[in-house]
Amino acid sequence: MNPNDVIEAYVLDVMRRLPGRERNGIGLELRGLLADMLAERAESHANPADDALVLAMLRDFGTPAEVAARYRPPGVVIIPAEQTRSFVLLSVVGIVLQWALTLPRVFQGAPLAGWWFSWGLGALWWPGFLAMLAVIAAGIRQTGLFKPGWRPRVVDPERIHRGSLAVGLAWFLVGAALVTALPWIAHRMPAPLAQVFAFDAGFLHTRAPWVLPLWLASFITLALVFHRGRWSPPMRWTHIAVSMAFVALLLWWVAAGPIFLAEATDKGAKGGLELVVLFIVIDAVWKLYRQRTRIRMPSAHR
Amino acid sequence: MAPTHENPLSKLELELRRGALVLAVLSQLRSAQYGYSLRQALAQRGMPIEEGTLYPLLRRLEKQGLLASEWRIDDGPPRRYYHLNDAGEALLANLTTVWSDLVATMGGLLKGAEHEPE
Repeated sequence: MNPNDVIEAYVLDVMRRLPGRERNGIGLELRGLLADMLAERAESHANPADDALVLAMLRDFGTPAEVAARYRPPGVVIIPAEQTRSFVLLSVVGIVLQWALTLPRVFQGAPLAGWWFSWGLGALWWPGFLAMLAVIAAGIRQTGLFKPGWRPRVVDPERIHRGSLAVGLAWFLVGAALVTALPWIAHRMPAPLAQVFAFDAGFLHTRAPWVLPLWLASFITLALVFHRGRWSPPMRWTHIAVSMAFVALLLWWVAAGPIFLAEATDKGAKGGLELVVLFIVIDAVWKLYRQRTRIRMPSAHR
Repeated sequence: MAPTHENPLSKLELELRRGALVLAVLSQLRSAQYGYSLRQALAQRGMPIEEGTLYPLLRRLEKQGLLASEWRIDDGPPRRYYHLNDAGEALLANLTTVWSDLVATMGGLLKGAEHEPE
């Protein structure tokens, strides 16, 4: 093969990857450059230019894709470096949560292949959704219209607003009382509703009672925080631990059998519980992340 | 992140040279040169630069309105000759001043570091 033909083929490969307007000018210049380089190499080797020499030179110069990339301006950054970790973490957590919520169906007898081609692969919508948000954010950044400035959010993040927490605790009590009374209320409902909201006896006897100690632990933690007027690290950790225990309990409720006798009610209730699990986990991850971002004193032994 | 134990000298030297590259290229384009002759001129004066870096840089400087170019077809293959235009000349003058100030500042800093008591 003629060395010039090799260079010509290489330059054409580079040109295919270049924007149309500049293609010819760059190609022509590149061909001249490579011819000059080859002549110089042949002279330094004291040999005529042959295939081996031209191929070695082109390998050193880079692949056509690499060469074309050098001529392109730096592209728009879709996910800035400081957001890459958060993006990956959010993507992975989102996928794992969806799998954690839907995989129990396989253990209940649903076919694994069916799960994989529906919920398994379907969970990948989440990173795609995040990527689209990142594209929109990059577009907004490109316009330069919105330049976010820093403002302090909360001076003391551990301090609580007593009024809000008091209302929250009151709702906690009302909600817990209402949910505890649900089986009794359902039993006294008129004929069709009584069947629709009838609880499974096994659920009421074995799985349901475990919620009471968790509610109690959660209420005591929040009441102590209310009393002191601020969160302390042990309180935070206790709250996160109780939240995780809630997640475990709710997943057990969903996976271990029916909650309601009517199938449609059971499915709806389990869907709702899965959403609750999702919110609790997101809240716990956020709190853990906030815990981590502190200014700590350096170790004296370093 | 765990510290890497690679010798950072070559990488840092490359970064320093990269910072001075535009000024070096502009300094040699008061007279028209094509890419390969420019590369040789720079290499002979102790500023070697890879062809793969130089050619895109020339096109970028031209796009930024600092260089003018023309194709010349003499007895050899067609070559694109670049030279400074008025904006490039003005930028070269400004950058030269900035460079001189920087060299003086760095000289002072490095001299100070040599004589600083431990």
